[in-house]
Amino acid sequence: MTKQHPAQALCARLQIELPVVQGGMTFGSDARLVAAVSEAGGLGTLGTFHYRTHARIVEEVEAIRAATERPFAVNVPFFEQSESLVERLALESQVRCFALGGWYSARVAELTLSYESLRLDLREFRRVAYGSQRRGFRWIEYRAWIPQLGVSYFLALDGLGAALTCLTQLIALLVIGGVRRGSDARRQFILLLCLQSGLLGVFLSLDAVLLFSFWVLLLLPAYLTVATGRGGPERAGSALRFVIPHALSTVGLLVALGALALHAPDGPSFNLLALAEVAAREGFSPDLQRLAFVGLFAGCAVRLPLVPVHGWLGALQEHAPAPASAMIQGAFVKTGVFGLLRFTWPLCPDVVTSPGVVTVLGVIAGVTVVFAGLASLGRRRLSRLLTSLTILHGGLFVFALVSLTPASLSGGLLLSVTHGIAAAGACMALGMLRRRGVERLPHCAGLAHSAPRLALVTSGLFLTLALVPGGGAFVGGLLALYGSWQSGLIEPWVAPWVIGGLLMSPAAVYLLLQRFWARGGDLPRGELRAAEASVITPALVLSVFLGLHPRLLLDGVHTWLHGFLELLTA
Amino acid sequence: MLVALILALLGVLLLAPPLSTHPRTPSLAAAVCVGMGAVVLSGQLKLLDMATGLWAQDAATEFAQLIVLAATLIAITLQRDRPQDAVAPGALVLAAASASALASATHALTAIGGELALGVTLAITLKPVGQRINGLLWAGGAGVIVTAVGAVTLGWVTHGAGLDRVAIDAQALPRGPLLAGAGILVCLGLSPFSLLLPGGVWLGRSRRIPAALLAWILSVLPVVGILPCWRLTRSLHELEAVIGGEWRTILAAVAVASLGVSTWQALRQRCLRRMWCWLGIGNAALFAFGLAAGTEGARIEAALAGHACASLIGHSGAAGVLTMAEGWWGGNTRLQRFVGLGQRNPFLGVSLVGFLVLLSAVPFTAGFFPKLHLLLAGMSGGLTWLVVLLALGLTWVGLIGLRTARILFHVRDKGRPEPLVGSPGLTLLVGLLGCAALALGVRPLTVAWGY
Repeated sequence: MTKQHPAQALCARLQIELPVVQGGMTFGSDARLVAAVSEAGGLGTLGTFHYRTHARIVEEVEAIRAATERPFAVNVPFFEQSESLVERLALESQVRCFALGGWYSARVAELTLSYESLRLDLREFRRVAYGSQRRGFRWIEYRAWIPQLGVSYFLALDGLGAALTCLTQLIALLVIGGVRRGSDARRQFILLLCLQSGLLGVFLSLDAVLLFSFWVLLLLPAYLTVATGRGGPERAGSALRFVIPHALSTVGLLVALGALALHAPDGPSFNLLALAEVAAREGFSPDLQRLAFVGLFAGCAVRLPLVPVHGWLGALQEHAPAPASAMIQGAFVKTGVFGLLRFTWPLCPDVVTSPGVVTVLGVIAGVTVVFAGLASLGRRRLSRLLTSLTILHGGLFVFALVSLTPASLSGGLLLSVTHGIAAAGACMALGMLRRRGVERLPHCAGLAHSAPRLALVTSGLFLTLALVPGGGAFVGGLLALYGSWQSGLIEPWVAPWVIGGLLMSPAAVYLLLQRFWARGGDLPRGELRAAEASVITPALVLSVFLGLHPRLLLDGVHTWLHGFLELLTA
Repeated sequence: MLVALILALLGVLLLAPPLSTHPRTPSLAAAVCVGMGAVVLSGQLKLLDMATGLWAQDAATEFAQLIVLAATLIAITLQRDRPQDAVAPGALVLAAASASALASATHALTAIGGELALGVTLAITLKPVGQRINGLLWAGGAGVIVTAVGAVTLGWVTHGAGLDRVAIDAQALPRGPLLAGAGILVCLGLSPFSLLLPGGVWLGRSRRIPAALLAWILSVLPVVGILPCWRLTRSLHELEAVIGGEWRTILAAVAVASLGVSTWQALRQRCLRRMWCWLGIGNAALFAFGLAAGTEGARIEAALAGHACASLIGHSGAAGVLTMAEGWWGGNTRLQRFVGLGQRNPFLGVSLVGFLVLLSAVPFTAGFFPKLHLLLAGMSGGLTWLVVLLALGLTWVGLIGLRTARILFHVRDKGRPEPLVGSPGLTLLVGLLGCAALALGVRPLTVAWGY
């Protein structure tokens, strides 16, 4: 394939015939010159500095339009009213090309991100958006999709999306490496790749309909990989118990997003950034926000999962094939985290910061943590223990989120990412143990003597999940608790319950370790093979590394975090 | 009407010996054709044009006739692989002609005439395949009678029974148009041809209709059956200031109830063909919901058109797979037969799942955006709780699709099963319809939804 010459690329980009761009030439350019240059095949540019009023500039633009139908640009040097001039020319006069004289601002970036009617190509403003301190989006792709419904193809990556995208890719790598060869391996690969694609779609989407589409579509491969894989005997039933609450919760999500989109001031818009701006500046009505919050939160709570909508996870973990459960526990549940951070909190800022709702959410988080902590102590199956730890992490994340401080949010995100890595590794480790006949706690007796490496890695993963010092989850949990204490939003009586619940999970894991290292195992069990080690060891190493060097993640989400807090407190 | 006329003449030609395979039908069919031709000609020549007109060849009629034509062609193509179950092409074409005539009716009398013609031609079409048509005749007869009562009321109130002229004398009789409009709306809505329950129960109880014909019925009848209602609602919208918006809530509630009951029935079925039939009846309720959700400010014609396209693709595609399945298993389409189909013929397994989930609002398929549009229109029209119920119903349809997918992709533990080979022609048709479903899902505007 021949490479296009830059001049040709410029002409194609600006839709001109000759690679000639006229300078703005303040005092030297007017409508006649601009129209003449454009008619000759170049790009005429109107200088604006010498015009005293915006109305005069608009008149000049109209004169250019009357003289030519070809493309032209408007040069806007930086002065006090530049932003409003760009906005007016873009919205009212439909000017598509600007020479901004070396200046950019957050407002111009917002214009390109918020107003679909502008039809500005965001690639032109990638540098702007990237440089925007408040948003920090990169790799923006934007196309109008169904303008009548306000739906667009809008993908971009920010700190939050990047963290969860990397997590998904990492887990997918581990999980696909761990798929056993067999008659259904090809189908499992296909379904896991579909699941991975859907997850990436969720984490990258900035249009509510696009996000919802991926959100729903995920369920199909997730369901099929559980229901038709080589898992436990009741996998079909557990897949059904998994998919029903998720499918029902999408109804609330759809209605909430639809209601918010219909109330956008400039007509229906599903642009999440635009909706967040509207929510932050003008605010949706309190009733609408409450209705939307219930729908959005319910959709995310099922995914996390929180008590009392956590029932699907236990059955799934017990009967699903190990790769499927690793993908679901490691990455799929993080869509709940993402949903809370991407749309639930930004779109309902008044509700989530009201004292009553904060207390209710704090209680839900506290109950979830305490329930999960108590449940982990009573578990007799390893899979159920892992499930309890996942639920505990979900509760602690919500606890961190309602506090709304930089420390608690950083901690919550670190907790989520570390949990994703460690839980995926633990699921794969449980699959290996299941193949060795180890499913219940009594079966674990003496595992450390017959398969010391497998016992060691499994212990490490479970200890990380139980927020034992040394892992990333411990640092995340500590930051979350510190941030909560710092904010003072949570009622003081909730915190002790949460801490009590958190302390129960290490106790449960210590009981497991006791079994591992106890004497009395009567079955010879195979040691960890190299292929198996390559799947679970990286998960342990990474989750420990995040505990030793949490800034690896926290620095990456710094820009997003401040934008998020600024939006909520605007 | 021109399309209806051409189809009617084509039907006569195809039914005439020696082309006809059903010796008892030509005379009756010919009589129907002649009658329809006369009605069509009279419409074209304005002979029977009362004050309000009898037929219209507008964009909606043209779209409906295109759907009818496409469905008829697909049904004839599908029948080639099941000659033992095939109905006479002429009878199918006649039914298409009647459906086209009903689609263009703008007067209560022509709507009744269209329903009568459609009922008779459907009876002609269904009888040779052994289908008991008593239910259809009873339902059709009752539907026609209540429609006639509604038409008489409408005519009394408005000095004419034009479906788009209810506004006449609205001020003089403020409750009259409501009674007449709502009456005829419900009557037409519940007629056996819009497939709303309970009028559409005859189809749900059917046992012997072959897949190809079922696809035709599910694709065509809701579209042409709802068009007279659509014409009526356009005039009711103008009257809302006088008569209020209760009729919209009533119609939306009927539609949601119809979807709920039919989805529940679908869940109970153990035969894939009947399950699909009930799902199709539930899907047809969305047309009625669209009529209720649309307002003057939020037009839903594009959504209804998209939904009609999605229904045509979904039903035709599923019929393609089911026709092949009927060939493999001697007409038996019980769900248990389909266990492992995804392993024995992955393409057809994936296609069947795709066509089934298309009936719910699964994204990136043709069914998504029209349904999203309908739901948004319902919310902006103040039908929020009915929208929630409708969305729950659609979710349940999706879950039924997932349950079927699990059956299709169930892994047999005993060795590798024997692969099933489908007919190349039908496989190609299914593939094309699958591509159309995806294309409409990704690019609804540029492919077929340019509004």
